[in-house]
Amino acid sequence: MSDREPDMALRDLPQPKSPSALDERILAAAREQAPARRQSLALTWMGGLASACVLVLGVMLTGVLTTSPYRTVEQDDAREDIVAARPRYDASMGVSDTLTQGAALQRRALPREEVTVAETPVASAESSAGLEADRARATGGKAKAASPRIAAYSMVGTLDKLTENATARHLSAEEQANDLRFCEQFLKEEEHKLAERCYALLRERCPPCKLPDTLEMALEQLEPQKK
Amino acid sequence: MRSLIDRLRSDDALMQAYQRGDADAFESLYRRHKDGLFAFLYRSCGQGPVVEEVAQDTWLAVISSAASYRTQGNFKTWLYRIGRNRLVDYWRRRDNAHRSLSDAEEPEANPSGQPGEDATADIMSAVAALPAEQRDTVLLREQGFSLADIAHITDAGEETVKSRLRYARKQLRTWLEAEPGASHE
Repeated sequence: MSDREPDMALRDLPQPKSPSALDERILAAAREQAPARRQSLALTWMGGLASACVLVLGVMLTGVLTTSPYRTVEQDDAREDIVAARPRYDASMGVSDTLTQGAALQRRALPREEVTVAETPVASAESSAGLEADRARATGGKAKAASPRIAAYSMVGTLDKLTENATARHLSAEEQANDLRFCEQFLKEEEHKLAERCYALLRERCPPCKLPDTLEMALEQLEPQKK
Repeated sequence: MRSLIDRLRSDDALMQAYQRGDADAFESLYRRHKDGLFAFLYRSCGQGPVVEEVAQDTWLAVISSAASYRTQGNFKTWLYRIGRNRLVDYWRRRDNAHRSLSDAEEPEANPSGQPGEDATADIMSAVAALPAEQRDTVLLREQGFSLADIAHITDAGEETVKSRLRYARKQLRTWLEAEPGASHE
């Protein structure tokens, strides 16, 4: 008998088949465990996709911010000016002083076109040390010709910022008078809301001054003193 | 169409598909190997209920470790290694260290229900009389495994596998040359 004969004999061994009941049990177990695995893989896939989306969004936003078409050289210059000329809200400064400084700051920060429109009144406020000079320029012929209404609007944002940063302190009678006349300037421009805001700022700055409720009343009290 | 595609896919491809949750891929894999594994276990053990239990344990082990399965290039070798180890574990649990069929009960008739012939019964008896390692080696070789694969499945060196094959064939030849129905003690 050669070596091949035992191998051939082994091929004659019975070929039992796996029972169908066993097949069903095993396939049922396989199906039972497969969906859980699919779910976990799906969650992993979704998590990866979400991370990738966040990353891409971040990169896109960074790109948009660094290459924004709205940023110009002038704006960059204005930003540098703001940083360099940021006003220090000294307790010794009155409302008119801070407004004047704020107006100057705003004039530097505004785009070139707006600066041109607001040039005359802001310049008058910046150049005058006292309220009388401001009033004279604001009510003067040149000032009216340069649209003081627009000039007043240009100071709205400045007023808001100053209100946030203002420091309360006691103002002297002269300082109060200066600031009241400064606010009166808005009344004369028929900018009543702006005048109210100016007066509210003044009242916040000086609680001990016990200023009346309205700017008009404060001005009426001011007139007799002047007289 | 789906089953045709699965039939053309390799074992590793089907296993990877099952890792992704494709139960149909596992079914194709199972149908490809279930009868071969069952036959190997039956010839090695000879007891239908035991074979069924071991086969079930083997396939459940495949299912539970599917997630950690890495492409090794030979799923079949991995499957039979698990199956053989489960069979050894079964005998150990029963405090019978992988006993040979000469110590066990007589092999059952063909579970497929086909009438057994005398020659087949003689071969079964001769195989059952072999030492366990030699029997497994011969049966694995008959399943088409290479010497390297058999060495991996039985956790032995290739030279040892060669030696076991040689002794097993010699013993089978001796027994098959003897008169039919003679004892293989």
